[in-house]
Amino acid sequence: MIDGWLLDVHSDHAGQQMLAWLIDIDGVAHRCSVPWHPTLHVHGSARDLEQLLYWLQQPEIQQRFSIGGMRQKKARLALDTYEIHQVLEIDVLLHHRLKGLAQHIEARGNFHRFSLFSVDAHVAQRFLHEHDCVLFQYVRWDGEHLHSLQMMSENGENFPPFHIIRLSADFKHPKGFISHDDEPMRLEFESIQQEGFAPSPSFTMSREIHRSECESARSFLVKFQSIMNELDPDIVLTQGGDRHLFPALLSMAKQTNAPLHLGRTSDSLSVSKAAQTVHSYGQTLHRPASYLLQGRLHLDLNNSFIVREGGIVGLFELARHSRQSAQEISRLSPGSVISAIQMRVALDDGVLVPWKKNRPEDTKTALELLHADRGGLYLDSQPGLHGPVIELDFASLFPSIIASRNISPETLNCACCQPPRTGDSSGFVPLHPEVAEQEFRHRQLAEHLGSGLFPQTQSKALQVPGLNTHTCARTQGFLGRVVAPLIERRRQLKQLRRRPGDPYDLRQNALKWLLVTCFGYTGYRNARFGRIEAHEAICAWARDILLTTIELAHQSGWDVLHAIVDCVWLSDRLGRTAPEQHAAALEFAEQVSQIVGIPLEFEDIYTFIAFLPSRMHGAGSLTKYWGLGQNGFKIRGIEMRQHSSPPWIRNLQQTALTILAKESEINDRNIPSTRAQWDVLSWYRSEIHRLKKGELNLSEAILTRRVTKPLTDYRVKNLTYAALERARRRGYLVLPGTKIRYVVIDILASVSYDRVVLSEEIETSESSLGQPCIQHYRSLALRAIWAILAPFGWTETSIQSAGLQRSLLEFNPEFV
Amino acid sequence: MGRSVLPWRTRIEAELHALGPFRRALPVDEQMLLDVLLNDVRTRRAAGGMLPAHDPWNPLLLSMMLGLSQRIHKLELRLERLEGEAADD
Repeated sequence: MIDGWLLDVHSDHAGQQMLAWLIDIDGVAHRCSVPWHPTLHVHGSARDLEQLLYWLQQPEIQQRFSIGGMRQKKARLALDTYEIHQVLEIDVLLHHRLKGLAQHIEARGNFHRFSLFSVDAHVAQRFLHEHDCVLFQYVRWDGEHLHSLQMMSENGENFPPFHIIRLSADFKHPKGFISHDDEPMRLEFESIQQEGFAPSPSFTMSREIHRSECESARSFLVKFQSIMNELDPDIVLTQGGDRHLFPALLSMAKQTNAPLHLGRTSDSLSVSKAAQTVHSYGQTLHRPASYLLQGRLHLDLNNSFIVREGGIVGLFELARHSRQSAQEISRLSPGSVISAIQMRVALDDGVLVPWKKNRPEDTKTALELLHADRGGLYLDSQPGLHGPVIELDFASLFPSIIASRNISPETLNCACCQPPRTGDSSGFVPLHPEVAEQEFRHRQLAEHLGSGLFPQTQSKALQVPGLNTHTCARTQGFLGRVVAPLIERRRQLKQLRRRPGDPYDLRQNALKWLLVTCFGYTGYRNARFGRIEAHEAICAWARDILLTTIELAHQSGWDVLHAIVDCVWLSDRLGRTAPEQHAAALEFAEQVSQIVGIPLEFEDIYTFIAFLPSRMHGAGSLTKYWGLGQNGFKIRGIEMRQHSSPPWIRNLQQTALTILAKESEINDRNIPSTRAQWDVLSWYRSEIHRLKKGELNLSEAILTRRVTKPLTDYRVKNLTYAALERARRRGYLVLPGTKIRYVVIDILASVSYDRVVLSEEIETSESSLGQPCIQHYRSLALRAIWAILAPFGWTETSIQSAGLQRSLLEFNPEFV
Repeated sequence: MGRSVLPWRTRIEAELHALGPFRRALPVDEQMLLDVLLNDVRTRRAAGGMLPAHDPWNPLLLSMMLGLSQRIHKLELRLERLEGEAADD
């Protein structure tokens, strides 16, 4: 019998059983082999199922797909129906044969006679669900089964005392293009105590090995392996392990024929998932190959959005909620994690998870489509500088709408309810999951809800504003039950947060991304539990809530300067002092929260805030602003926030803002003085002077662009093409989805690849590669400084001619 | 699934862009007046988006008329103030 914390669960190499890894109180790892196999469910007519059963009983088929037992069973197939259907349950003895069998059955049914379920739910998740265990929980292994000894901690405790090491490397060619044949010259194992984890008993001193101290590459690897075995970490952190370090080690191991087992099993290091290029939200992204370890977790900090946003504690928080392996979800998007949580809730509900979604969009007239197919509301900003300004934000608006308005695929336009004709807000569902559950129990008892065969007017059924859609008053929606616990958990973590970046803050930030993607997944065509009408209903409620907030703000003596979907910027109309405004804003937020049933929170008070005009027409541009709040500047949309901008441009804007923020330069109207604006102009000119004199380093001028397609697909020979062409000529292939970094040296060069130099060349070259192109960087600098001075009324022409130019269209004449 | 209808801002920007040839043929002073009317539409995009219609010109014209009314109102207030000052003198 072994007691310990559950580190990871995965299928064994042969795919015949599950390996559960337990770390005991002394830090010793235990491998528990659990005989387990997944099952597949098939629904079809009784006759078709019988024929299928007969077919699958053929010895050749059973052997080919490793079919174990088969049985007829009754199960719920959809969220919106409680009917139980007959399904064929098939045991698949080898885990990796599951998908092949599903494809075979689908083809056998001519792609329409069978509906398949439980095909791609992750095996670890299904295993943990069946054993009622959660990762990082204290469990007992009795030789046959896992038993949880501790409820899933929800009170913000530390994660278990896992032994964490950071593995870093210095390469033979540390600069320039990355090559898998590049040998690591030094490897360092640093034992670390991660904040948010209990202290590990295995904490050791750091170790390092040098290639120069080893006779051969093979002995270097053997030494590396022995240190790995000696330290025996539970978690290995790398920065670029998937992209650089592990491929290089693997290449070395192949060349020298040295054994390399970085996991706790005898399996050699190998690629777990090949590299791929994906398209997400209009972006082309490259995912490097994954190197997963057995028995310990390999987390590549450079290859994980979740770790970048929520740290390791955020990742573990999500792994616990989704019941998936931390090292697997570290390489997934938050959307995949929310999808996994939805599957988990469906499993809890006893609903089979469909393999392929088959729900078309409801039929609509063109006018209904025009009304329904709209996003959140953006109130056009009033361009210019304003101060003081208060920002209020709705906490998790879209997920809260899902939970409080009971929006879910199965609750929309239900057959059992009709909303009352008069607008009534009494049907809002409380956000706390337990209170919401009680509320629905109470509704069941208090109301005579009828049989559900004919629609009855229900006072708590909610009409979606502006659409011919309502939500059910009888049944708590599936999506609400997914998001409400996450909203509540995030609220608790935010209360425990002591400072930005502490473990609680990181964990709540990871949850934030889950909640953000949850809304998007309702409209995603491949989401198993998505429905476009749910997406439309959420947007309709969001617009209505923001309009209600704006109306209430006007009634309470505020001007609404700008509003973006879930936040508003308010300026006082009643001449209240700053403390009075702060108190009034809190009171107003409380009032709105009560009315709409979703918390409106105080975000910040800005000494001044600038909303940028559009470069094209001068009207307000969307999400481009900068403002000096209580904790420094909040900046959105301008060059210094863009990853593509060179460091020189970011510094230009940063320094300009610092000049404007000088206390001595802020006048009695709470805005930077004219002298401060002139100081910014002087700063800009001095930098242009530096550029012209050739004093700007190439490293300060590096532009970054994401490559969206292969070189051969480019039709326009732009700067990115030039950089790709230059890389190709130097024998380096830049894959779509990765980034290319370059400096423009001569924008007018007749040969495209002479227009730029690559950052890798700058790192390695010992001779001069030229100077940043004056023409190109001067125009970038002008745009950047315009974003700072335009709210004061400056134009590009006036910035260049150092004077103010009056025009009929000036939007903020008070600063002229 | 996904968005089927173009966002309102994109639709009206396309409508305003389509006025390009008309604008080119106007005298310069009238071009400036037209630009003011077009910006009246742009500053009321959020309100226009709340009135989805097959024909975008209804919210477009309403926005222009509101802009004109706003400028007339400002002039009325100014006139009233000047008349008041003149009467005081």
